[in-house]
Amino acid sequence: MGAVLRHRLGVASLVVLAAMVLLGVLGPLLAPQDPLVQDPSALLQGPSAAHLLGTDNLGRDVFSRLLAGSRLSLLAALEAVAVGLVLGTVPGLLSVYLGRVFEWVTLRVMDAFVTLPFLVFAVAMTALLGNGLTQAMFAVGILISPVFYRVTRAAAFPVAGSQYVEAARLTGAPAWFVLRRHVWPKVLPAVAVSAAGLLGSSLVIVSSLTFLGIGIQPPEPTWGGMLATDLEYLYQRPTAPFVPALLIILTVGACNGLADALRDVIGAPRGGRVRA
Amino acid sequence: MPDRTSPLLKVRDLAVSLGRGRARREILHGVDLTVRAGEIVGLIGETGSGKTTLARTVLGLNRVDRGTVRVESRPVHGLRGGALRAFRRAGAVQYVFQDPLQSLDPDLPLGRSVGEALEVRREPGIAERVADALRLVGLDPDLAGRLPGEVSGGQRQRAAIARRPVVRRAPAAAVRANRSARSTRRTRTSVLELLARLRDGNRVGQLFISHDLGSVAGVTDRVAVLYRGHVVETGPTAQVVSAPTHPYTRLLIGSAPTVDGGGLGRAERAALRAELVGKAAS
Amino acid sequence: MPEPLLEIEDLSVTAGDRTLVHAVDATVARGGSLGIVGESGSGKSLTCRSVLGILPPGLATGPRTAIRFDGIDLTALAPRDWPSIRGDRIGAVFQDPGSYLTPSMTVGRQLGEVLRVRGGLGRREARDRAVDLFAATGLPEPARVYGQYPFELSGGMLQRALIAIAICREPDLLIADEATTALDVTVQAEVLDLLADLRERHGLALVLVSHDLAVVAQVCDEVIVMRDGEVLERGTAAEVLRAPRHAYTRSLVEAHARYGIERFRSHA
Ligand SMILES: Nc1ncnc2c1ncn2[C@@H]1O[C@H](COP(=O)(O)OP(=O)(O)O)[C@@H](O)[C@H]1O
Ligand SMILES: Nc1ncnc2c1ncn2[C@@H]1O[C@H](COP(=O)(O)OP(=O)(O)O)[C@@H](O)[C@H]1O
Ligand SMILES: [Mg+2]
Repeated sequence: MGAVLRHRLGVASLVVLAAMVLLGVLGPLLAPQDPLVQDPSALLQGPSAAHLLGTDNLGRDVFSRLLAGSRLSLLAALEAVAVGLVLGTVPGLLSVYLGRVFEWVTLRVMDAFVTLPFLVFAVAMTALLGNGLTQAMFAVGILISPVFYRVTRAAAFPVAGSQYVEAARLTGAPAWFVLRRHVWPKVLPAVAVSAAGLLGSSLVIVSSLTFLGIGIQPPEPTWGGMLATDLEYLYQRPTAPFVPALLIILTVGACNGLADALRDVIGAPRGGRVRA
Repeated sequence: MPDRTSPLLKVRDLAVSLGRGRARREILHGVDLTVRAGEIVGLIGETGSGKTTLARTVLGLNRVDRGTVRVESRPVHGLRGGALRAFRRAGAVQYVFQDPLQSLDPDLPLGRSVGEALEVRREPGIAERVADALRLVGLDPDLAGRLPGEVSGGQRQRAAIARRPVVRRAPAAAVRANRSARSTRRTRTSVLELLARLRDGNRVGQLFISHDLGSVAGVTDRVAVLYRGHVVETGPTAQVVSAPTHPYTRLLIGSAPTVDGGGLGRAERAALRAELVGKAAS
Repeated sequence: MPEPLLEIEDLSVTAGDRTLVHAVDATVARGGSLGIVGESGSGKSLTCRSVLGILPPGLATGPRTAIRFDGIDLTALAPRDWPSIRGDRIGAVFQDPGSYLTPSMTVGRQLGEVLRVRGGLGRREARDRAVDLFAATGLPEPARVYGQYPFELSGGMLQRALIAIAICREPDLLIADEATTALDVTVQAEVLDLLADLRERHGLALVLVSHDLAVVAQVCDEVIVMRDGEVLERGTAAEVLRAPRHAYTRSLVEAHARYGIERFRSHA
C-alpha cells in the first residue's frame, strides 16, 4: 500500500479523507456551541463572529452542527460499507469453495438484492426495524453487498483453480488455511478498491436519505439533513447550502480518488515480476 | 518399512470417469501400474491419453469407478475429508508440478511455498529445513525471501522441486514433465538429473510423466505406455525402447527426434498408424 | 552456389542500451533450409521477427544490420510495402497456433478471407482453393475442417491449418518458430514431414527454429546454433551432429545420447 503514497491523486484523496475523519472525531470537541441548542433571538443569521457560518431556522449554530454532522454522516457510511463487506465477501469466498449448491443459492440471492429499488427498500427496513440511521444504513449495506460478492468471486475464482492452491491442498492443508494464505491476499486489493468507491456512494446515499428525512431523528445534525433545511430557507440564506454540499462533494470525490489510486497501483505490474 | 518386495505405489485395474451429466465418460479403463522403492518409472502417452487423470487419482483428486490405489499397501482410493487430508499431511506421496510458474504463488516468497507442507503440519524448525531443502536442490538459501517473479526460470523450477525434499519421508513422487514447450532440453535435463539424485538412496520411488519418451528414457528404470486410457505396454526401459511390441509404442519411439537418425521412415509410421486404426475398429 | 533468397548480415537487436542479439549472419538459398537451434532466450525468435519486420515495441535492429530478401532491403522497407512481403512472399507459423486464429470464425473462412482479400479470388474459388490447401497440409476431411471453429481442432490440426494460411499466397520462404514444440512427438513427426514435403514439392525455402537440435537436423540442411544472442556454431546438419566444434553444441548432442532413446538403441 506504500505505493499509494507515491500516487499524487491517492495522496490528495487520503489527505482530504484524513481531514474529514479528524473533523468527525474531534468535531464535537471543536464545536464552539452545542449543535442542538436553539436561539430564537438569532434565526437565519448570516456569518458573524459569534456564529462563524451563521444560524439556521431554529437559531442553531451552523458551524457546530456541521462538525457534529460529519461524525454521524461518516459513521453511517462506514457502517453501510462494513455491513456490505461482510455480507458480500464471506459468501463470495465460500461460493468459490463450497460447491455448486451454495454458489447457485447465493448467486440468486445477490441477483435479487441488485434488483431491489434501494430507497424503497431502505424505507421499508426503517419501517420494520425502527426509524434510525443505523437501521437505514444496515439496509444500504445489504444493497451494496452484491458488489463485494461479485468482486470477491471474480478475484477468488482463478486463484481457487490455480495450481498453487492445488499444491497447497496436496500438502493436506484445510480449506481455511488455503483461503487465508492464497485466496484472501488476492481478493483483498480488489475488495479495498470497491470499499473505497462504495464509501463515497454510501455517503451520497446517507445524504440523500437524511435529506429526505429517512433514518434520522429531527434534531440530530447530518450533512444531508442540513442541506434539506438550507434549501428550504434558500431565499433568506442563499449561500448556506454551499458548505454542506461542498463537504459531501469533497468527501465523495476523495473516496473515488482513493479507489482510482488503488486501482492504478494494483493494476500496475509489480517490480521484478516477469513472464515466462 | 518399504522394501523391494512391497511396492510403494500399486495401482490395480483402475477405472476413472470425468465430466458431469451427459458429458461424463470413462477416461481410464482398468490401468495397472507399480512403483517400487528406489525406482523411477516413466509414464508416457500422448495428449489426452489420461496421464494427468492417473496422477490426480493417485493423489486423491479424482474418485475412482473401479479398482484400487495402494500406497505402501494401504488402500487410499476411498479416502475423503479429514482422512484424505491426514494422508496428504503424512507426505507419503509428493507431486512436482510441470510448470513452476503456475505452481508457486506469485505473491509468496519462495521459502514460504517450500515450507508450506511443514507449516500445515505445524512442524518446528521450518526456516532451517527450508534452507536445507534449497541447498539440496542447488539453490542459495537466501533466495527464500524472493518472489517467484524475481528469480530465473531454472531457479523457479528448482524451488518447485524443493517443496518435495522438505518433507522427510517421501516414498513415492509423481512428476509432471510433459509439454516440454516451456523448458529447453538443457534445463529439462538438469531437472531430470536433480530428480534422479533425489532418489534418496533406495527409499523413494518416482513416477515421471511425459509425452516424450525421448526426453526421459535415460533416467527411467521402467516405462509404462498409456494410450487412450489403457496401459498398452510396460517393462524395463531398455527392453521397451529396443523391442517395443505394441504398435503405438513403436510409433512413439519411431517418431522421437534423435541425433542418430534412427527414427522410423514416413511409410513405416503410416503403416503403424493404420495398424492402430485397425485395432481401434476391432 | 545457388542464388541466395535471404541474406542476414550483422544482425543486432537492441532494447535501449541492452543488446539482445549480436552480429548474426545467415543465408538461406532459394529452396534451401536453415535450422536455428538454441535454448530459450538465445535470440531465435528475435532473429525471425527481425526478418518479418515485427520486432516487439521498444526493440530495434542496429545501424549496420542488413537484411536482404530477393534483393530487397527489408531494413529500409516502408510500412506500406510490408504487406507485399510479409504473408505474400514470407509466411510464418509460431508455437501457439490457437492464438493466431480468431476463435469466433471457422478456420475455412479465415483462410478464404486471405485468399479473397490478398489473392483477389471470388467467393467460390476461394472456398475451393481453401479446401485444396487444407488437403495439401494433410488435414483429414478438409471440407469438414473448412467449416470448423478453432476450438474444435486438435493442436496438430490447428498447426496444419495455420501452415495452410501461411503458404496460401505461395510464398518463397516459410519461417516456422518452434512450430512443433507444443505438439505430441507423433504429431510433430508428421508436421515435420509436411514441412519437408512443401520444400520438395513447391521449392519453398524454410527457416526452422527449435530448441531441439534433433528436430532441426531432421529437416534442415544448414544449421546455426545460438546462445545469448550470438551464433556459436554453423555448418551442415550432418557436420554439427557428427562433429560439434563448440562445447555447448557438444552438450546438446550428448544430452540426447545420455537421456534420450539413442542410449538404448546404440547397443541394440
Ligand atoms: N475435468 C474433466 N472433465 C471431463 N473430461 C476431462 C476432464 N479432465 C480431462 N478430461 C479428459 O480426459 C482425457 C484425459 O485427459 P488427461 O488426463 O489430462 O490427459 P493427458 O494428461 O495424458 O494429456 C482427455 O480426453 C480430456 O479431455
Ligand atoms: N519485448 C522484449 N523486450 C525486452 N527483451 C526481450 C523482448 N523480447 C525478448 N527479449 C529478450 O531477448 C532475448 C532473446 O529472446 P528470444 O529471441 O525470444 O529468444 P528465443 O526465441 O531464443 O527463446 C531474451 O533474453 C529475451 O528476454
Ligand atoms: Mg522463441
